[in-house]
Amino acid sequence: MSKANVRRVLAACAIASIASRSVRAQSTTEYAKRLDSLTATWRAAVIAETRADSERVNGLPVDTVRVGNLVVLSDTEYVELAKNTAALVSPALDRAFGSWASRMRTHVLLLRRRSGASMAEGHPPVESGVVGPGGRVLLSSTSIATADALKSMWLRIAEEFLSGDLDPEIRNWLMVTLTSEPATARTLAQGRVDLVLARSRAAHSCALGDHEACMQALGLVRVDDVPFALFDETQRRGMIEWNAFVLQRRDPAAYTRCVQGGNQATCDSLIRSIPANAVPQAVPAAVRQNLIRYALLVGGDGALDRLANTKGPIADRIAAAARMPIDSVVSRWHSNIMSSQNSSTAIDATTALSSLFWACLCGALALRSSRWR
Amino acid sequence: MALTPSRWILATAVACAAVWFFLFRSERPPAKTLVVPPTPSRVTVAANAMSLAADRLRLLRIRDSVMHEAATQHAGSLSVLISPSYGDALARQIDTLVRRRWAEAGAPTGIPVVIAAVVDSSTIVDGAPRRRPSWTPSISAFLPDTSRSAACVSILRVASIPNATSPRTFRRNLIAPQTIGGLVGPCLYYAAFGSPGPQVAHWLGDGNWRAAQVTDWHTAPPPAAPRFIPYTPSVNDRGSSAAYDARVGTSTAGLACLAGEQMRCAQAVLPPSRPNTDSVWRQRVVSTTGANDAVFTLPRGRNIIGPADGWLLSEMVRTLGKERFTAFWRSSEPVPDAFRAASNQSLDSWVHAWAVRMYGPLPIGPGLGGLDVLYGMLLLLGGIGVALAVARARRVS
Repeated sequence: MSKANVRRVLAACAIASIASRSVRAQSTTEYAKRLDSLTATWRAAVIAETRADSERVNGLPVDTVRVGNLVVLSDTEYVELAKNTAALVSPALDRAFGSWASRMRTHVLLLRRRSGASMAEGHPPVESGVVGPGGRVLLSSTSIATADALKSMWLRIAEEFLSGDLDPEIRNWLMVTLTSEPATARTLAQGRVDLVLARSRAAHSCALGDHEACMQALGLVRVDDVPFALFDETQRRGMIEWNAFVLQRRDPAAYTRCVQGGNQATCDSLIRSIPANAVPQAVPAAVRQNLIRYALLVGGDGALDRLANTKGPIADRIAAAARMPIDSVVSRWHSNIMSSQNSSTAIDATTALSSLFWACLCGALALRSSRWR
Repeated sequence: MALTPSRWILATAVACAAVWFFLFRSERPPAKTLVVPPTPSRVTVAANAMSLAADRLRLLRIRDSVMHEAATQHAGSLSVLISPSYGDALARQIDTLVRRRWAEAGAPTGIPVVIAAVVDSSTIVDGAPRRRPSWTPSISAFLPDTSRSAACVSILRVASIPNATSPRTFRRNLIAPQTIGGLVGPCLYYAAFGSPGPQVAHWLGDGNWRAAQVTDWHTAPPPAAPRFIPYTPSVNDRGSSAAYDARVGTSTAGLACLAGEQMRCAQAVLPPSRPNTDSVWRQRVVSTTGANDAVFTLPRGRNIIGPADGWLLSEMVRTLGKERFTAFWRSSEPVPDAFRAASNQSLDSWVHAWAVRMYGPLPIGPGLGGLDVLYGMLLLLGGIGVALAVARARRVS
């Protein structure tokens, strides 16, 4: 028998011997028993959880406050507080979301004493959130028991849930929650800053007035090869180096050929190994949100409902919300943000005047200083 | 009215008070709220444990099946078994890559090794559900039992083979050097150098064999020198200036090592062992994922000794040579002692030299670059010039 054959036989024997016996903590028998035991534990936990859910539901406050589109389950002692806060929040939601705000009726708010928490700023702390399945409190938070303190929290909760009620296509496109803050010329002008500073070739072209580039950068038309269509070579190189911690570990030789050897074909191959969801967006979410806010503003009543309920691609839905063709929406939005009177959102007229005033005052005082005479 | 220092101070105080009153006092600070993070329920904890046990049971059954198949094939010291479900082309590619990697390492014959790739799509095991990520490969290496002469078995599992619905990157992930290296890695070390000493084995087990991810001990690794990249990955994060830099991905202990602090390198690569309820499994089974897309979007943590930590053991083999590395590997002494005995140098100094080779030297303490000093001097000279000119203009003739 040759040496190779001897080695094969020995290897086969070794493998057969280990297959025929159990190794501590690695045997199927032991793990089958462990799985049985864990399954029993899990079933017991599910039964206990169901009982706990029932107790939680029974423990919810019984007083119900309805103001506008808000429904609040409240401790009796906080009913007035709930009414006052809801009276502040409900009109703000109506203004921001229109009839879409009526969906808040399905997300019941909760307001109750926070057990075990100490007083803060002279007020007892309260717990608020949204009543979820099994009496669990979603987005639970603790704050002091004043309408002002609760208002911002409830607005944030409403923004989360009203945005969450939109279908996944819009949420994935938008990437941020809708805000209840009213759109103003100043907030819309912020879109220019975000667009101009975006780090993609498409965004720069868009800022310079290329309509097709705007459609691509905003994700309103299908783009097949995003890294190559919307980004230039330097930006793609940046993507590779940003993802170095993955790419270098995945294929050190290819990474070195690209980054240190400058091999373009290898770089292109590395770019294509970055999954689509890890390729940066051509414009930040703030720009997309800016476009949506503009569309809702020009669309008027029911704009958000039209956005949510229209079927079809995102471009069609924005067009329906704004009640004009998508090309017109994008063109008007572009000219609006690029020609806004608010030339800079960093320094407004008040800040500039205030700065001038203080500079002049200091100058005048300095001129009167005895040391200069 | 002359402006004396006391009047200057008074004017400044009044101005500050006015600024505070008109600008800040009108704005109420936002109410403080505390968002309570959800805690996992008992059901979730039990479900996770059950799912993990189900996955391991499934893996053990696959291992037994693979070993039975390998035993019937009598394939020699290395058996490569690829499920027919992978298709001819992909199976051939994986087989070739595994064998090439094995040959590059000198085709060691120390122990029988079985490398297998299977499709594992089942979602229920003995009535218990288990979670399987759709497009993430899972690699599990069963290390040989040191008390008996047994085989090392490494298994690559995928829930589905690449098809029309899988991401375009899935196929290339399966044949990426990282995946093949993870599949071959631990068994290759066993085959090439035998069973490690108990202390070395414990050290590697505690770190999930992360230091042994690379098995390319014939070539020096590409340097991962710190670099500044004026780029952020997402245009949403304009405020973030974090760019890829070895220092960004290195723990505090690792940075202290890079900076040359005594004994910090040894401390960094030998973290204190923490008791783990799962230690029995983890000491005998090495689990990795290979190349996968999920890591692109995961939060970027810091590795103990930087992003190149997977090269640590491979570099030991390359720089010490096989003979001295084998002496270290098989030693029953504690890791630092074993290293010193085998290499005549301390583990601390070797790791420091390795880190400097990989990432470049780390500047210590405050300092200024040459250009910064030049700018500073020019600014100073300019200021003196202006002061002299003003003084000359104010001189009473």
